[in-house]
Amino acid sequence: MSLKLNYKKISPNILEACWPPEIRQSILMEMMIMKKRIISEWHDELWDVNLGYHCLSLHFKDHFSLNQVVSKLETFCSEKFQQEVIKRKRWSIPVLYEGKDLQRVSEITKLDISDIVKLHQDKPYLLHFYGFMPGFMYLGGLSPKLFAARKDRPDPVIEKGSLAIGGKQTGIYPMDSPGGWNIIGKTPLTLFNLNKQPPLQAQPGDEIQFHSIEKTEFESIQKEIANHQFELKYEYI
Amino acid sequence: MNISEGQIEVIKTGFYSSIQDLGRFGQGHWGIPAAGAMDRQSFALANHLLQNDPNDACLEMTMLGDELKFIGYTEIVLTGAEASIQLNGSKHPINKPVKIKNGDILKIGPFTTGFRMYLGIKGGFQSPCILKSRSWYKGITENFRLKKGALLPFKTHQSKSNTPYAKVAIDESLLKNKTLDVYAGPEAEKLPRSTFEQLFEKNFHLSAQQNRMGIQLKEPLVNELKEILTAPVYPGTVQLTPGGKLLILMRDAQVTGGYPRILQLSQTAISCLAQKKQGESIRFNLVDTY
Repeated sequence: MSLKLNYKKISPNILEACWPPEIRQSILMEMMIMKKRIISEWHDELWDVNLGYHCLSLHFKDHFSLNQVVSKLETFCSEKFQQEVIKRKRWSIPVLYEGKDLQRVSEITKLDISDIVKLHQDKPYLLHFYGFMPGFMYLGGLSPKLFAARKDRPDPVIEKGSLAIGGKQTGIYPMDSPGGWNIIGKTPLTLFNLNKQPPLQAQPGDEIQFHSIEKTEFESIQKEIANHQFELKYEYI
Repeated sequence: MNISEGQIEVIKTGFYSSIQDLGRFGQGHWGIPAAGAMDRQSFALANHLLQNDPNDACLEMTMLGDELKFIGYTEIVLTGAEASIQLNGSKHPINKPVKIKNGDILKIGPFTTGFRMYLGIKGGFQSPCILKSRSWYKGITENFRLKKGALLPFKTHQSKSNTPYAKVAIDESLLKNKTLDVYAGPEAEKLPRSTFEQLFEKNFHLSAQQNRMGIQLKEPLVNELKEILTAPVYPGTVQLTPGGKLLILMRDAQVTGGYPRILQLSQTAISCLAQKKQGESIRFNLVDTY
């Protein structure tokens, strides 16, 4: 790749490398390759490498030299990354599409509930990054037909596993939380599990495919999870 | 020396207390905030005075202290905010390690100067370590704020001789200083020059909207900036909200945000701000990152 990135020194410890301000899969893939390079280059010197839609941040443990780090990043940019393979997975997430705000979304979108459910699981979503709260996925790819403004009055508690639409975005609440998004369904899965290492399985760059399940299946998956028999399904893409 | 399990029993809670260490680093890419001590300087002092590990967990108290009973022998130190402190009914000093006996009762009143106090304990609190940190955070650790009746574990410590403690110069400017060193934020260049300059000419006051996640300032700015594509944010990031209010993110801040990031506080400035209460005034002082 030959990239022209914009570098910003945020503090003596933090550097951001920014791509053009767009939500694009190609930008995400370049960021993931870059992140891999960054971690192998500065592993022990970094606290963390975080992503937004177009900015990648390097949080160093100590002060860093802007010139040295940027010139290294520039070398990465000019190298050929064709051989670089980021193994991506497509995760299959079962959803019971019976959320309490489906009617509201139907009124906003002027679509029948059955069409909303069909359209929502029509295509996989791209996981850009985690943010907002622990384990909350920023997913790209919601059909503009399903855009539905957030509620003026947020719900005091949205249950863990709830699938929702908030404006131009869709996502799953990984834990109980107040929130203003429209609830359209619920997954029986525990996506954010502190008893597992790592606590989440899907990585930025992976895809999330929702598929509709009935109440009986929802309950049987819940039982399997309780008996530690359920494995989250994925395929390589 | 004898090491076994000791506990602090919470007799009465103050305003908001939690166990904190330096934070949960390296988990931001899962959306998990770093958390950690709001005033790192006073936190570091507590561990230093006890010759602890720099990351040993302390109890962070806000605005008003707790009443605590010690079950087991140890040594403690209190740093940060100033308050009337009593150990078994007698006046107890700040910034000085003191030996604790089984059954001792520590009572800390409202803070007179400063907003956060740290109770350091020999060897650090032993509450569960989740994702390499003991810092309490809702949804990550079982507890997120101290409750009456809670039991906080520590390793008991009893030495016959007095441990020689290093003499430390206490940095008093932390509580008194009103000037916060800041770097220009990544979206600062989008602000009109006159608006940017106002940031360094005005006094700002802390509003009532404040907690471990962030502190909102009272005085609004004229804001014509649009929201940005969601990007990383950090403790100390100053966001400009659509209503023109300045929101300074603190240790429990989420890891990404969509408001323009116009300033970034230095580490010292974050500690200094953590000691300010509602209504107090601050000024920003622009410094270079180099």
